[in-house]
Amino acid sequence: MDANERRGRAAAEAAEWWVRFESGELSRAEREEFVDWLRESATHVAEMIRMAEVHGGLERFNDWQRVSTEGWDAPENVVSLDDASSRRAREASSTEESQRRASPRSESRRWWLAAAAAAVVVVFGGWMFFASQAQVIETGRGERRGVTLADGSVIQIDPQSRLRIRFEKDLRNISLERGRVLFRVAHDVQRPFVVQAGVTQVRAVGTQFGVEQAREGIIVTVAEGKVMANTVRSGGDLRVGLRRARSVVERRPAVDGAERRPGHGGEAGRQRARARVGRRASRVRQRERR
Amino acid sequence: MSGPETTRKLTEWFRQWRVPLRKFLIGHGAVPSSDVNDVAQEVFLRLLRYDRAELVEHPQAYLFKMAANVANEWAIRARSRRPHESKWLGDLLAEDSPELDAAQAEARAEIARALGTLTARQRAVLKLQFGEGVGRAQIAERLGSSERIVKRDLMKSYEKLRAELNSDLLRVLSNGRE
Repeated sequence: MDANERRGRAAAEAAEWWVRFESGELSRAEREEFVDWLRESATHVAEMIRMAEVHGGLERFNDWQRVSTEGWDAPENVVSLDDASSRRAREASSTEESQRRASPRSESRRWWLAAAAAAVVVVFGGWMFFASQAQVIETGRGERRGVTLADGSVIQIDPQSRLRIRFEKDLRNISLERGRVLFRVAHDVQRPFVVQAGVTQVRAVGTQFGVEQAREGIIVTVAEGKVMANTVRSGGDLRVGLRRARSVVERRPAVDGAERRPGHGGEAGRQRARARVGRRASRVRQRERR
Repeated sequence: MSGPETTRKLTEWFRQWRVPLRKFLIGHGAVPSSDVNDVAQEVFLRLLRYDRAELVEHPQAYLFKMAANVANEWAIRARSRRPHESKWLGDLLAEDSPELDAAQAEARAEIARALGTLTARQRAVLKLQFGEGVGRAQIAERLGSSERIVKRDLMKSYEKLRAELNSDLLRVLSNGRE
């Protein structure tokens, strides 16, 4: 039984346990059975937690009016075909799916592309050249600055930061040389907003995000966006879409040297990224070799 | 099925289980969704170390109390790594009340969509249980069904919704407001 099947079965068992709990007290024998089941596998524990989340969601769902129950008394009901498993089946045929490998951690992470379109942040590596004329902003120790750019974007600059701003006809380019900046990007599809830190580029279309040049690498914090689940390892490509209203934490496992050559095109292979959406800080962390 | 004895038992049960569960749901927003497996791993290890007989007394309470503790510990550790981070994003997110509302509206829309993948009767069961707080016996009665079938509908629904729903969206509903 592979990881997916194990998880599927654990989910079914967790659902059964949950329904048993809902109705009231369990007998001692049942409780013993439950404890033994929990202590069989961390997957069982995880599925109980997920079940709690589903249940919590249902309890907080207050839109029952819009939920139609028409036809409940029909003998056999038709289930909508556009559910997760059929979508997965459709996507499975694409190369993307087939190249996905399980992450080192035993449980595979499932990713969902939400139906509604949302802002996507794409981070990819590559060489960039600086233009000679650019506006440079530098903050000193203890100095914080808020700047409104020509396009209406607002940036908040932390102390001890330095950045170059270069707006062109079809590109808004910021280069973060040092420190931390929070961006609120004004919508302009004609001119992509690109922030570059080292060999990392962050491209935004109407999002709020922060980029930080830290000693241990580049940290991109996103406060808005939707998550897409792709990491392309070679050449430092890391593609992340971010879920709206929450930030994303992305932690990459240790990268072996060969694949960190900047400017290296093509795909040596894909790697499942670990993305987490958190209430507070989320960051895309990318190790870069200088 | 009513009477002071049963009522007392239900209250006791509620206190033992539902309160830790509620606390866990509200608090675990600090743990990013993909960390659930790590949290589960840690909880799993703690469960193994505990005395089985003790766990058997109130297994759900222990489960969610442990999960809440682990989640809290991780959140604290994450915050201490970047002490300024919370404030920084806190400022940002504080301005974004419309963002949070929008996210919660999206979460509700997503639940509505996921409910659409169930059978009509499953939806009816859930609507009666969550929307109207009807007990299982009454649900069976209203739908002209048996409690066993209602139980099975619930099980299947939960299983399906778990597959359909994105944890991250669900967590948004537990955040802040309400």
